[in-house]
Amino acid sequence: MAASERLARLRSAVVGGDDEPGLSLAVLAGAVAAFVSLPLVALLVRASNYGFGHLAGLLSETGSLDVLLNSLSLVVLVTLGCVLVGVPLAVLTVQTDLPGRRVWTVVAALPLVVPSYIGAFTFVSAFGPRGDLADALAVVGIERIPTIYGLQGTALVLVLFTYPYVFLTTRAALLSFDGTLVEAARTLNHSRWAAFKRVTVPQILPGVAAGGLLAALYALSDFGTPSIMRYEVFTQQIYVAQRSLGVPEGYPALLSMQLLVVVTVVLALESRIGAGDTSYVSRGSRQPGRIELGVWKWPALAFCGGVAVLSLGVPLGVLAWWFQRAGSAVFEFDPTVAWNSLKVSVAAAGAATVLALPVAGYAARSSSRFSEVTDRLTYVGYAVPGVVIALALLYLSTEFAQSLYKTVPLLVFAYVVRFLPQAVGSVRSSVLQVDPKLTEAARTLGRSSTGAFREVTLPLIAPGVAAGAALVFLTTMKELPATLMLSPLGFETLVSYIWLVRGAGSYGAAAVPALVLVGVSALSMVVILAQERYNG
Amino acid sequence: MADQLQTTRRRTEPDDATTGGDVVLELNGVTKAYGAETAVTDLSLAVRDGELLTLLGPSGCGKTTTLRMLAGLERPTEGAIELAGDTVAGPETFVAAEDRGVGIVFQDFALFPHLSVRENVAFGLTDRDGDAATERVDEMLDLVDMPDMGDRAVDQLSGGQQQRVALARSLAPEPDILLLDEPFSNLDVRLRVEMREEVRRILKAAGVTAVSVTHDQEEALSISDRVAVLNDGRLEQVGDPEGVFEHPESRFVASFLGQAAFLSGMVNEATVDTAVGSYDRGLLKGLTDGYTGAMVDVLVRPDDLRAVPATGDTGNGTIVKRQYTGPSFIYHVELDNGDVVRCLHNHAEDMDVGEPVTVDLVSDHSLAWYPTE
Amino acid sequence: MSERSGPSRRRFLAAAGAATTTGLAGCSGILGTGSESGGGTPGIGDFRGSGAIVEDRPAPGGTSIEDLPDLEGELAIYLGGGEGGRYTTLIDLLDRYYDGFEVSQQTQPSSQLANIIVDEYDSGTTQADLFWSVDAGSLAYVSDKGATVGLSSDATSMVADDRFATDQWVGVAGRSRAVPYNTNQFDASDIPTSIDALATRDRFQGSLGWAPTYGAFHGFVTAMRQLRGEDGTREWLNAMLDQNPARYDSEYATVKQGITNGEVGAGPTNHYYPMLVFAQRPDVPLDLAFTENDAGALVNTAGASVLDGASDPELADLFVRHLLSAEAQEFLATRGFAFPMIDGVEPVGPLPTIEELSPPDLDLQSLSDVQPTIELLKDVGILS
Repeated sequence: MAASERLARLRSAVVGGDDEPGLSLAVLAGAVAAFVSLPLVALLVRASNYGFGHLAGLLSETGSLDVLLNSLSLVVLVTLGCVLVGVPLAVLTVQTDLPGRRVWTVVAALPLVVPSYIGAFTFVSAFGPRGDLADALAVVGIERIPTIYGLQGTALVLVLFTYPYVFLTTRAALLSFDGTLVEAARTLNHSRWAAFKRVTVPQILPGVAAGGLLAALYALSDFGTPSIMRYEVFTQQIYVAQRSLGVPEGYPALLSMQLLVVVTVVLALESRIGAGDTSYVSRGSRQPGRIELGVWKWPALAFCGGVAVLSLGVPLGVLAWWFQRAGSAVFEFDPTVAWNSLKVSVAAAGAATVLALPVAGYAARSSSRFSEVTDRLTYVGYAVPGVVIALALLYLSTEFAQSLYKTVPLLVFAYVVRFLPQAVGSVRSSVLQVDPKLTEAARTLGRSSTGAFREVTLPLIAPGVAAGAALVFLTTMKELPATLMLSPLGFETLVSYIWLVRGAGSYGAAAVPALVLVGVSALSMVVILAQERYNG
Repeated sequence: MADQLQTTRRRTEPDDATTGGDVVLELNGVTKAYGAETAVTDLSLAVRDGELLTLLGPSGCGKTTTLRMLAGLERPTEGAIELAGDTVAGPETFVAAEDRGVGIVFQDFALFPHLSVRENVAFGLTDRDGDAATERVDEMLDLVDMPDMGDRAVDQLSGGQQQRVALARSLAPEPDILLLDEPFSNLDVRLRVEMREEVRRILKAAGVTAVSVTHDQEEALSISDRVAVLNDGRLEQVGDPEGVFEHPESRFVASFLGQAAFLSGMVNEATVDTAVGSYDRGLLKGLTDGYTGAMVDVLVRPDDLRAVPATGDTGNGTIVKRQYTGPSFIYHVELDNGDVVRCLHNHAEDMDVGEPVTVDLVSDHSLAWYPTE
Repeated sequence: MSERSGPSRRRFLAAAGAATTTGLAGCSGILGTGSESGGGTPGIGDFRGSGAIVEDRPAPGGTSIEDLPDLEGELAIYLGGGEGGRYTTLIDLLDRYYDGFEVSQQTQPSSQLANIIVDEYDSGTTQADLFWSVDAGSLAYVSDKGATVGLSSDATSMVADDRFATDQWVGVAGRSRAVPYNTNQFDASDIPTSIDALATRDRFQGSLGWAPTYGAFHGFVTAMRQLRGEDGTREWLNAMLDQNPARYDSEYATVKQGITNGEVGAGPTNHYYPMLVFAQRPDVPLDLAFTENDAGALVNTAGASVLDGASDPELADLFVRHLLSAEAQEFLATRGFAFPMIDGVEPVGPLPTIEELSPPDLDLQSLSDVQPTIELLKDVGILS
């Protein structure tokens, strides 16, 4: 075919059909996607520099297979645990006559508010070998309690603070579940329980899987909890290996590659389970009748209460205890630390929002392949753990951009890579809600396309954009591994401060910053919920 | 007083059901209240073996609630339900849906999306083992005329096919009675007519007793053996379709079925005088002596009246509206005395709005009437 | 491998015990008020620690801060393990001493910092001006890799003992390996003067505690490797494992929790840990012993070096001189119970001076050879 035809084809493959947004938007979106993929590319290049043969050799030489096993055990245990806790809680609060359902619903979702490393902290303080429980039991004469450290403790803490993901997605699936199906099953000789097993469960499986995915990814990428609980998994080992003597060349890179492989496997698994057909034939709105618990009410309440005590009572109680015990010393807290946290979080939120606009705008308005690709690429940060991004950026800066090494801009870049997906998602759904006819109308009334964007689209998507920015701000405030690895010398944030004092064991000083972080986290939940309502 | 007359009339006429085959289902004084709201009041009804009874009424009349009580998905506040001789709902008993042996076809079919057609149909066959179940499923698929569709996924089926599968599924476990909740409202209009016939054929072939619920009078009248008209939670009238249509016992039933209009008439010794003429008082069915000198409202339907263009002052009414339905016109005529009636004409008889006309009664059957309120 | 026992075995803390049971809290140094004086330039009282154990010390000798040039400008320090915040307190005091002097620091384990410093040097991205480590091994490692610039003779000449200074780094606070023990379980004479006996004697079976993840322990093992070779060290480690020692997170925990409470009877730790416990609670059944002429008697030192790539090497060098000032050394001796590195300041009462100890003949620079130590510990199964 003629060259011009080829060009035209290429152009439409890139830019889409005639009613597609302009080329400049596509270019911008592509640039952003390339920009945030840099760390991953850098890591791959670095790994290949070592030679994959060398890396394979390291596999057997070092304990990296043990680390792999540890990480896998953790992920499996945590996902299972979250399902075992989250699904019953969802069923209890949606479909039964459990007393105080509304309250339990809120309480069950609240643990998301506690950053997991703070949860880990408080758990070690309460249940560790020299913790409060041990002291209390020592009085009674029990000398040794099962250790909180290791796999059991790490899994427990992670389950307690990530089960809400499964709880919330299962709950959503149950709420949108067509109750008529259960009634149909009942008229076909199935008891309520049999109907639940054969009809409800297969229908809500995709929802459960989605929540399980979030929990699994979280378990894989969490750094703080395994470090505090002394369980050697990828994240913690990458961090330690990156800065220890006696570590063979390329070991951190190897661990990172392994971790990324596991993440990919998890993502692939979920897309298979979760690909359940969501285009249900029946779309009734009737809720199935309430399951009556009868005498089972008491065990159910005990279960809900127990989970709440462990996931909310312990951390908040311990923090309050530290706060109270530290007395006036608590306020000797240096405000520069909080100020630093604020500065980087605002910078990250601003940068992420600005970068999200072209990507999300393009993805929302275009159906071309290219727009799909750029959209997907920005989700790199969602799957790649913070510790790996930080490692990649350390490599990048030491090789190519020494002046950026351990500077605030680099740190902000790490945050942006990691949390851009939140901003993109938020902006995208806002743009989708704006009827393109509105911009067309503006243009027929004499506005240029930028003018139309500024005067019509922007005001309409402003709430969604703001929500995305708020989300990035709040998640950045509590981010741990990248902060530890990339902070410039002397640059202390709330998070690095907490990490520091926990190393010294003086927990009391951590009380105020920890409470601030919990408050920040709570705010982000409020933003998410408000945004859900806004999106309908 | 007028209402009392109606009530007495209803009670003294024998219920057709008791004269027919065995009674399979009986409702006695069933009431359902939700707090202060009553959805169904004092409903008594009997359904005999093999018949198709339709509960007909506008939305909110309590028909769906009644259906759910029959299925065991709701519990009556008062009254009792007997099914195949056993009391399944009463002051002291309540048999739940899973134990009742009642099949139900839902309005939106409620097919299990994660199961194939065959698995859907087999779902209720919990007491049969592999081979017996397969046999029964094949039997059912044959009955609903979908013998080769067993392995299809449910979301690949058309509306009509889905309905067939829903029927097959509820018929498979041989229920004592089959309930249908507005079964055709989810189909497009053209399909509706076709499926009505089809469903009746299936039900009769299966020999199952069925209770259907609908607000579509055409549907009720065309396929049911008997129709029960409900209004605001109460049973207004029950009988075969012709009886209910031609001899509505209450004003509500009269206006609900067909396009009704009322002619006011003065009852005399031998005649009844209306705006369209005087007629023998024997035209009004069941008019007793006591009504001489009273005003009554006579029920007329569009096919009972004809309008003819009038010249000068000779007409008795003016056309105020006309409806073109394709094959026919329905003219709304305002008569001199203020009554507004409707006349059915074929499409060739074209008249204009505002034209003076003479309206004549052309029906060949007795007319229903109600004391003027 | 000799083993001296008998009444000549010195008990250090017992001697001090009687004197210190009278009055503990508060301090009344002759100079200044003792604890943080709040505003204004810190005085000697701010540097000196508090407690009866440090009462009646003479004024420290050596160069006073006042005699040193002023510190001016910004200094970035990589601080290897803040020793429970003690070193940050000292940094803070020096910061407050001078207007126009700003210091920022990042605290991490010394070995991690050593690794980071070398990486940064290699890639030309040096972040800090000064490396202040708690052990000589890390300092030696960093200087071996060329990441330091030499110190001025003004700085190096302040150190009294040559063993604790090179032209690349100087020691500022000496620490000796020791064997603290529970006096209820063991006598002074029970504790051998050779570290091998600790690993072979029956009486220590099931009665020892240690913290093998601790940096100072690694330094000790490195010393042993230098002194007797890989195989001999491996033998000792395996013998220790046979003694079934209890494992603690840190040597402080080994002493405070393990030995003091009688969970275990003895164990190898740095000398100042039992001092710290003793200073808080003079009535504990705790004392310490030193081995002789082997790795168990190693005298290591915390120290500092100026990094290649520092933005202001002169300032860093001057800071090092301040660490060797009379006040700073008094601080380190009284608050951290370290062995001072300058003439004119003595270690805290109950402790012997370095001259009185019998450390092995070992160049501290050789402690830079840390990598094989880690590998050996992993190989033997002590580290995973």
